[in-house]
Amino acid sequence: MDYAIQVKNLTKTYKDFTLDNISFDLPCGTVMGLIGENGAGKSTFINALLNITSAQYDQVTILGHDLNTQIKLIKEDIAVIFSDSHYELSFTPLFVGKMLSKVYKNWNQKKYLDYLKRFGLPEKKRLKKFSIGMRVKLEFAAAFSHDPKLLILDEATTGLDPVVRNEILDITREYAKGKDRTVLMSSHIANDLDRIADYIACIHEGKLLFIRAYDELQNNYGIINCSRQFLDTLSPDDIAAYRKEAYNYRVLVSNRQKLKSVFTDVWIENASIEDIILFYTKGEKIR
Amino acid sequence: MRGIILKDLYDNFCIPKNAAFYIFGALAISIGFFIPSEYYYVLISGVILPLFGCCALKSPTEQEESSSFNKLLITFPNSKAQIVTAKYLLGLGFVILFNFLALLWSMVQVYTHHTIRLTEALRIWGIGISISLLFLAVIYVGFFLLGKRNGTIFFITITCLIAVVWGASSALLGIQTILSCSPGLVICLIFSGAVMIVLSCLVSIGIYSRRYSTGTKNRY
Repeated sequence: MDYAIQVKNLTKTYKDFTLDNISFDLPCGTVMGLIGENGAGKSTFINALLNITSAQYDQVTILGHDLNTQIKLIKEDIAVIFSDSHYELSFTPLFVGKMLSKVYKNWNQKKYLDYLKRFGLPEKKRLKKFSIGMRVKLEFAAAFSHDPKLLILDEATTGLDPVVRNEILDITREYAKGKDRTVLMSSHIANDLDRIADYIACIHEGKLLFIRAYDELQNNYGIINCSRQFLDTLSPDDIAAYRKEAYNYRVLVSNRQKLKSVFTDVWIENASIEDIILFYTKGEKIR
Repeated sequence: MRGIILKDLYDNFCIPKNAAFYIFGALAISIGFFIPSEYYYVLISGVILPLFGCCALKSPTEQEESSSFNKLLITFPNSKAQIVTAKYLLGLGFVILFNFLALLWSMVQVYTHHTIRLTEALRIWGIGISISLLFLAVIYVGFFLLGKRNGTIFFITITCLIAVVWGASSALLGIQTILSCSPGLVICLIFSGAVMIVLSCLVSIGIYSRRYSTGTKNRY
């Protein structure tokens, strides 16, 4: 199996929003960051992938299984953590383990209890007495304990303080190091993805703007501060987008190395993921 | 499905306020046990115990909605039909348990208190089974369709309606008429209840699947 997720022409239409013809392939053993502003369609896309919401598509294959006919097989091998759906607050971590041991065929209770210990979560305390960070850690402990091949995180770090967020990202990165483990992580916090993503997919107003390898974004994209005249000298193929500032133009170029060799006296800044997203969503394109 | 049933049991008995509901109910019923009267016998055996048997879904619906657990539940390796069926199976388990208690209570009335005869007790027990099946069928569709808040209002409304019907029929027809109803009618009522449960389960699967509807492929 080469790809953990293969999506072909997935569309979901609401009265006032359309997730438009999304297609991509996510290789096994990689981490994909799905980024976009609030309401861009990230959660709708994930819900469609999980069959939580209806969608039209030509093909959706997850871990080699067809979404339409083999959803149960898919669910055995995936773990999902949402920002808006959690275990009931009356549960104790011990009960969560007991319940999930009846749900997943390959549930490993010992592994689960080890995770609880490692994350410092009391086994018998009700979740309503946990902090938000503790609840999220519990969801990670539960997610990892049936050894999923695909981990889907839908804004899982939203609302967490920086310390816990870092811990969660470390945990996710550690999980992703395992053989053939794939992560699809949606977030509107670019810094989170900077730390762990191999691929970045950007969704804006229901459309997939781009999907690129993280290294490609880091190595090839750059920002030039320049005048209008200089902007006009650049080839449209090299300009991803530009923004007009008070006294100059900021141009996102997609071919930094080549431009560096051509314009040796021009300073080209590195572009962060956040910069690239901002340019793609708020910048203008050369037509 | 076992995981979902276990969770629903937890919601019913391991949350103090929900457990208190059953303890309070048990205490209220046990007071009636010491009153050797036909009226109390029919009320407890034919109405109250069967109604208690239909409470299995109320607490889980409340808990699931308050934490949006339903969305997470759908990511578990169960189909939507299995999720709904698991809840119905637990409901039927409750109905069996509470009707078994009603049967025990009937035997106590027949052989210890000598309040009624065996044939009358079995008729009332049969009516109780049919009431619990019909009530379960209606209430469960109500909860799946209306959710926690409106489902609870619906639950209370139907319970009140049954209480009014019970009160009116015992006042207008008299307990003796109820005790001497035809066995054929009782069997018909139980059969209708069983059919209603199946229909109710199918309707609830439809409602649940529609709420979290399945994907469809493009057609060219």
